[in-house]
Amino acid sequence: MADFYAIWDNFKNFIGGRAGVLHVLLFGLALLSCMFMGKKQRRTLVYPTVLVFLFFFNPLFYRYIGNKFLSGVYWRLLWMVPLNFVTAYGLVALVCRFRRQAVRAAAVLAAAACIIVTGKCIYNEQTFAKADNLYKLPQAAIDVSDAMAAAGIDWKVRAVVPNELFCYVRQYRCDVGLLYGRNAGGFISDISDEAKAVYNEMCRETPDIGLLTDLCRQQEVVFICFNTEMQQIPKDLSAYGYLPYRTIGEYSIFIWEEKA
Amino acid sequence: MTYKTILSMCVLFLLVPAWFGIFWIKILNIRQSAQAVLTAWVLGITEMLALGQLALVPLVAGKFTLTTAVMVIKVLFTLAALLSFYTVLRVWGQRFDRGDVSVFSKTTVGKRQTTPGDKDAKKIGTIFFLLLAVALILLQAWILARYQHIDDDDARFVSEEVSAVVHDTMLVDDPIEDAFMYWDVGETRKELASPWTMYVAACCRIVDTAPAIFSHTLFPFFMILICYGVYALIGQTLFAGDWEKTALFLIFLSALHIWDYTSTHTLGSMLLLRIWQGKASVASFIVPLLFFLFFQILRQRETGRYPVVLYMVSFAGSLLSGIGIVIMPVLTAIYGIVDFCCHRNWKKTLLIWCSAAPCGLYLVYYLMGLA
Repeated sequence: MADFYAIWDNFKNFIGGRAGVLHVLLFGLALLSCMFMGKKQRRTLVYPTVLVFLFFFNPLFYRYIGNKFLSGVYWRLLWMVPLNFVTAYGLVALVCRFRRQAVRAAAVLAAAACIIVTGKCIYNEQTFAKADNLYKLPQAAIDVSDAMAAAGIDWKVRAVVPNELFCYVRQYRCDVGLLYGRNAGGFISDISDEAKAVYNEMCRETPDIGLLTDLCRQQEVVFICFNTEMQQIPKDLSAYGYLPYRTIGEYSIFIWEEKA
Repeated sequence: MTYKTILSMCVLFLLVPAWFGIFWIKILNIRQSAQAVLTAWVLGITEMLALGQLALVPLVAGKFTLTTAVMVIKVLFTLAALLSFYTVLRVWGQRFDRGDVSVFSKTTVGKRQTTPGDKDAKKIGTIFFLLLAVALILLQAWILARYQHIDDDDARFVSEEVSAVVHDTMLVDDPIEDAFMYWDVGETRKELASPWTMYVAACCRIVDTAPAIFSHTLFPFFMILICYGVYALIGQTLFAGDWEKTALFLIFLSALHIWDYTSTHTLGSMLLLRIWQGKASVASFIVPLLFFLFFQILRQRETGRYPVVLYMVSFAGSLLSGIGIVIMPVLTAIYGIVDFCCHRNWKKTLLIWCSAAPCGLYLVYYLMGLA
């Protein structure tokens, strides 16, 4: 039973909980109408969909394969369900029952309104923004990494950057290596205890600068970049072995004095 | 980004695939002109991906450079282009002998008996709905090309592409620390079976642009058009060549995708937010393509030639993502069962199942990497 609940959670996760229920209901109605449309529709749309659902909700498959090899991403198997195009097919079949073009156009509008009311628009302020640049990366990440590379210290330098930048620096240039990046959140690869300690300090509003710079020197980190709007940092870190290098907006970059 | 880059993208994602696809429309004997153009384009892209997979897996395993990979891919593309050239010469030769000089043969598929008044109204309706569908699709492609959506998964994918392009290596650099890391260690072990990022890196070399610009701006525009191309083919199949119904189908699909942000996992989110990632392309391109092929296969009692295309999709799906390697055999197994129940043709069912064999091999390696 626990397996079934886990599968159900994956299903809910996929449709987005209550937000997606109405679209799934629409799909269910379309599938049901396909069932009565004819042999062709049953063969191509209904039976395969039912089989995919049986396969997905199979607790044995989940226990031995899904849980082991698709842990956390089991919901991706639901991409095999032709959710959207079965719904679209059902709506077209419904709309085309009207022979007069004007009535048909009105029916199209009504069906589109039905989709709009039951769903949530993908184009909103959370998902899309005006592009900062052609790379479509935060401009700060580009400016900070350009500044680090411009020092011309080596063909590759190691750096620590604020959490809001670490996902983007290496999408722009690869001559800046990071002590940690998205792996701090448990993705891609494990990070060392020292990198974890530096990450923990960078997460704090008032980091322990002594500990942070000690660890960075041990790890041969050449540049440390702080967000001075989010973190309280002394203006001078020379006592800790790092010199001011460049300030870009709210970002202050310090360079390891041995490499300066 | 220069006009040269945009022109190169048009050649790489419009002209080259359409040219490659000529071979497939001859093999599949598709006669209706609009459907033939769409099929050629879609199957041409699939062929390019399949060739990429065939070239990249051994090259990554052998720790070759990206330059070598680009060279091998270009050679394979040239051979595929020559195959299409040979096909065109043969078709034109045969038509010349018959005295028929039209590019596509005329057909009556999809045409219905209607009265003159009905015919005019239907024609206007079809044109109106087709224009609306095209406008909606172009709008979706334009928004993704113009505006910025940030996805943190790119921290791995795009970084790997940048390392490959700059260092001329393939999957030997840690995407975060940039330390030396063999391909068979950690996450990259999975990527030997699905080297999508290296394919993108090779495309970046060919069109001469940065991976972030390619992934976030240029590629999504073309990929959204390609995905809707597959949906148009599905519409043509489901509605027996009726363009008005196909246009309505595309309009409803567009609306469903745009208003599908109930979670970040839905098909709409994959298509319209991060189509440049391999897994999103599997969800939005490979899976609908498989549906289209299975619909064609299910229509025929005999084996036909469509199972041959399935073999190619098997390689293309494997290139894009690990989930492509998993989904292909599962869908093949399901539609194989449905086909057997419909036609009771063991030979055909076995042929369908066997088409997942390349994925099966990659799947074994993929699961070994996860274990």
